[in-house]
Amino acid sequence: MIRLLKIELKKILPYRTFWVLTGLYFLLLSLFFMGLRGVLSGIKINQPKQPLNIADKFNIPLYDFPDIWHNLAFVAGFFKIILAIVILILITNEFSYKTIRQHIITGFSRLDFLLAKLGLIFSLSVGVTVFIFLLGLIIGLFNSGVTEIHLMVGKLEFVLVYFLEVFSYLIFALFIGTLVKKSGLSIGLLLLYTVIIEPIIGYILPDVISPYMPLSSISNLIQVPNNSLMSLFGLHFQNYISAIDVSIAIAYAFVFIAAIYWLLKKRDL
Amino acid sequence: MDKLSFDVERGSVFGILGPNGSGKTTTLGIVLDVINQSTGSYTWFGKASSKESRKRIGAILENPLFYPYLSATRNLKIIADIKGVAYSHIDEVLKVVDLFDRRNDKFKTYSLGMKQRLAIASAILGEPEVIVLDEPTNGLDPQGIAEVRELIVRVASRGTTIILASHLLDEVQKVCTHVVVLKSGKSLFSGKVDDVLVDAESIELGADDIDKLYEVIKTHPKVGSVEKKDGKLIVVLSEDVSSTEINDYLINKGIVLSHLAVREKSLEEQFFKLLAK
Repeated sequence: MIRLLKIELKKILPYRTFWVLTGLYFLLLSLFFMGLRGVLSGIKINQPKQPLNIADKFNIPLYDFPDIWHNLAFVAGFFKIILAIVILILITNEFSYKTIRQHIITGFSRLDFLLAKLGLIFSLSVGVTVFIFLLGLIIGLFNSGVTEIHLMVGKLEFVLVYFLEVFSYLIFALFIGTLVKKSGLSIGLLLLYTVIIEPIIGYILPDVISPYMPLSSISNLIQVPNNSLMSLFGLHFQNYISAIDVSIAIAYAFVFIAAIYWLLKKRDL
Repeated sequence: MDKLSFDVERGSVFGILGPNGSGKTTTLGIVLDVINQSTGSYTWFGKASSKESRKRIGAILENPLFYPYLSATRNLKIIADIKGVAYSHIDEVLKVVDLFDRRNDKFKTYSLGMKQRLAIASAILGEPEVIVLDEPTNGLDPQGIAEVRELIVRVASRGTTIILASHLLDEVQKVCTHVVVLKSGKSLFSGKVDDVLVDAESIELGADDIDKLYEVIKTHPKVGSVEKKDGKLIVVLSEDVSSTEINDYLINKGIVLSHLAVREKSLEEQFFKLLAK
């Protein structure tokens, strides 16, 4: 496995597109999260005499330990699509350059090829999770008055589950890339499916089933952070990690891995 | 592919000869496990094929396949990692194909000929026991073609088994010891190159009594085959015989020739004859 991962790194470390896109993920996520308080403070409820600062009024603990972990993991969920595009480009490159064919001829099995890609996705997910942890830690230390360790690490499970969220979403991207093989088409299909197709299917399906669609299951892992603002609108979201959600996301990852392997086996390369 | 079957002996230079679309690349794709066959089987080194057997084979199929944004050295390092070969061999093979000076340039900056030479470098990397080359001289200039052929002969002389697919007759004839001739996925011939692609001299003979000539010329010990065509006889000679000798022989048998000509390019004719079957 280490050998396979080393081979993957040889392909991507000198690849500029990889660095530009992952860099963009890190940069955009950091800037967005750091600017979030400013955005929330800017929202004024229409009460001319007495402008209302939402963040203060409802006392949203945006950057406070331990809530920061939930808030950050939730926000980072929107940015994982950039990482999915990275994976799509890397996998479709193998098909368009036909380097997958040369790998098999040279002495890879199809399983080796898949394991190498899984190793890459695993490592990228770990890297991203570590980054989220460090970002949360730094922002929290600067903004939160909390210094007790047990409060600082409370809700840290959201960061761990963010790993699973990214991992299973990237596996889904790997599946789309393997299925479609063309980079532009696969990126279009992933975006279309994420933003339009699955929501529409989910809308048509009965409410008991729709949360168990692949991407809904993945995004259900970390739900909207609950706070007094949400309860103002009468909304209530799951404020914890559910073992069932985790199991479903893991199960989907396995299903898509099996589907990718089947595609690789069945196809002429 | 249709009932194709052949064995490649260790140490031979085996040619797969056929026109475009005859199934050369498909055959190689199947035995290299990138194309799934519907029926049939193959073995490597006397065993069922596996990734381990492929590591003992250096192969290129059709076009050179590399990462365009990586240099020659980096591309070959990936090949070396997959094969489990030491990097120290990389510079050596790059020198062999004359790409050493360009080794740090990206693959996408290479000309077609350079790309083809890098593919050959990747095939010979790690001194594999078998080298499979699919149209290795495609896109090369005449000098490059000559160099690649010379390289193949040199590698073969070390005892490496070579499987060479080509649509070029003289390529197969110049470097191969054995050949299978393909057309539309069928084997038309397989055997030693010397047996099928002999560059034998042939002559055209004509006489008033063509049937008598036919009977008599067949009795000549150095005549291979005789065929009637357009009122003449096409005679393929199995050994070098001068046309004077043939003429003398026939005069002694009481036949006077009305026509005698030495034919050129009998080899290509034989090849086209094979393909026309």
